[in-house]
Amino acid sequence: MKLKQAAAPHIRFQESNITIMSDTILLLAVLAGMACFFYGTRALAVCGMAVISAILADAVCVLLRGRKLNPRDLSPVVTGMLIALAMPATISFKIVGAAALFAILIAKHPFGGTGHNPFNPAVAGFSFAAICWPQQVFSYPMPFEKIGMMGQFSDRLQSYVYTIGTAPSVQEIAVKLYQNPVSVLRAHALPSNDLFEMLLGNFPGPMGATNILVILTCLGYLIFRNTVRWQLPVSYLLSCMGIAYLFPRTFAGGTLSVFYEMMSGLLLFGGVFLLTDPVTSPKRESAMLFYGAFAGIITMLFRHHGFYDESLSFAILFANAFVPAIDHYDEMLCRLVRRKHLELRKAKDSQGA
Amino acid sequence: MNLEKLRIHKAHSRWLEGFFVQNPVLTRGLALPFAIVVTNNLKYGVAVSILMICSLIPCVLLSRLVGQRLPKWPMLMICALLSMVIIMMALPLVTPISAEITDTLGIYIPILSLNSIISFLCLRHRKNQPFLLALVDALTYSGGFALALCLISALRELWGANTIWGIPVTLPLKIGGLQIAFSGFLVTALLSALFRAIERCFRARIYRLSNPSAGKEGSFS
Repeated sequence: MKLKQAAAPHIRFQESNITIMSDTILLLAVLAGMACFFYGTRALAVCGMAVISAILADAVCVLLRGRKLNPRDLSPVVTGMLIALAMPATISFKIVGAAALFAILIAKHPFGGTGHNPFNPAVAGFSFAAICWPQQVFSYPMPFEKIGMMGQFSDRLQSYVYTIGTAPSVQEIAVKLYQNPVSVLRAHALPSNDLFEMLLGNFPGPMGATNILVILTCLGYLIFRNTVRWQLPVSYLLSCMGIAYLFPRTFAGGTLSVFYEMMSGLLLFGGVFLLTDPVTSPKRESAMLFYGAFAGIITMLFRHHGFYDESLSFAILFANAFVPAIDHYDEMLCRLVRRKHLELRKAKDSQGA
Repeated sequence: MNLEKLRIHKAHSRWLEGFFVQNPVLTRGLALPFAIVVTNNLKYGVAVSILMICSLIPCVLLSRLVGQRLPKWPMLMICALLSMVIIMMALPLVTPISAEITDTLGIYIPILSLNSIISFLCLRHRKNQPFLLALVDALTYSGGFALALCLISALRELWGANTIWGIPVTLPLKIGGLQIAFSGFLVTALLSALFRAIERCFRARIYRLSNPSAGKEGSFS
């Protein structure tokens, strides 16, 4: 027998950092393309700004830590794209840049960089932007509206046109901004958006989170490619649907509530791309089931009682904090089950003998 | 390996450790509630620092004078009572900063009388420490507390409200989130990391000066 000497690890999975990240980037590029179709080239510019900021910040941090730059590490690209796609197309470039910088400089590298961050950097970056600039982050343009590339949105965002009956206080309108159906649900009203139009992404919302059909296709692709284990997004979405059905926020009943809750805001996008980050999700599949359900309950709790229009990012950060504990108790449970199983088998063997 | 200069540096820095090397807030993590919650405005930072300076020095000196004759627990109680009295007497010093500052700071004024810096220093200087060192420690620790609070509050006010001491400052970005208490944790943590990094660089430089032949990597940790 010929022995081949090689350094560890000797048992490798097919998936690696680069395959997982490149799969995600591919899908996010599709969503960015859809955003470009709906909102014009400004959507791509916002994505570019976020990605460039994230890459530069990551490179600076890596060099400051005395490490070599790794061109195969595509995580800053994913972080940048996720942040950009969770924002409206009219968002100021400064805000996107600041969110990307926060994600890398505060949420990622102080904890040890790629593979060591306890919180999803993209979610942390988005939450930072949501806390600091809620008006800009939660006001969205209508699809197919002409958005100037360098329009001074931050200065002109004095005017908002709300879909829930508030009279528009128009000072200077560059682009009319609307609220996402999730804000209408928060006011315990029924959104006026057509469900079929929502399925096609033709409603105001975050650039990458309104294309429901495309996101569902992305989920299928990620599960098929084994980049994402099905247990996590499925348990998450099912628990969200269950709570939306049992405790509807609209007067129209559980079924409509489920559809509107699932298609509004960042819920589906978060369930497919943000929650499934391999670094900040549990390791075992049984733990993933529990974690997904837990995150879903927290998300719906935050939606029911939260302060912000879209509180999914805070719910994910909250759930991220419990991942080590979930992993720990799941490992204990698995060992207990294995031990019981072995004891049973031994008892059977001794009876047979 | 010549560690003589490092030892001398360490011995010298003992006298001023409270100000930078062992900054009570940024290095030792003492009195964190004040650093995190009340520092969204430079005025509040300065007011709390003044009250801390006024209360810490007499408490440490009292502890040095009578600490040997008393057990720990009554010593802490006496220090807290003295601190409370001094804080109440020192309130007129901070009201010129802002008329409503006592209302705004609310509960943080009375709880300043028993914070971890006071208890740490009172217990440290209770026995076998020179009187001068107790005085210097009280001065440097209160100075270090003031430095940390002023830095944190200035940063948070400048970037969170685009003002400094209430005066508007033009900046390209207003990060409103810096005004919430949670960002106090972040700013404190970042400044703490910065302080530690500066101190480490300083010690590394002293080491390299006394050991010119030492390699750049792996020789100093």
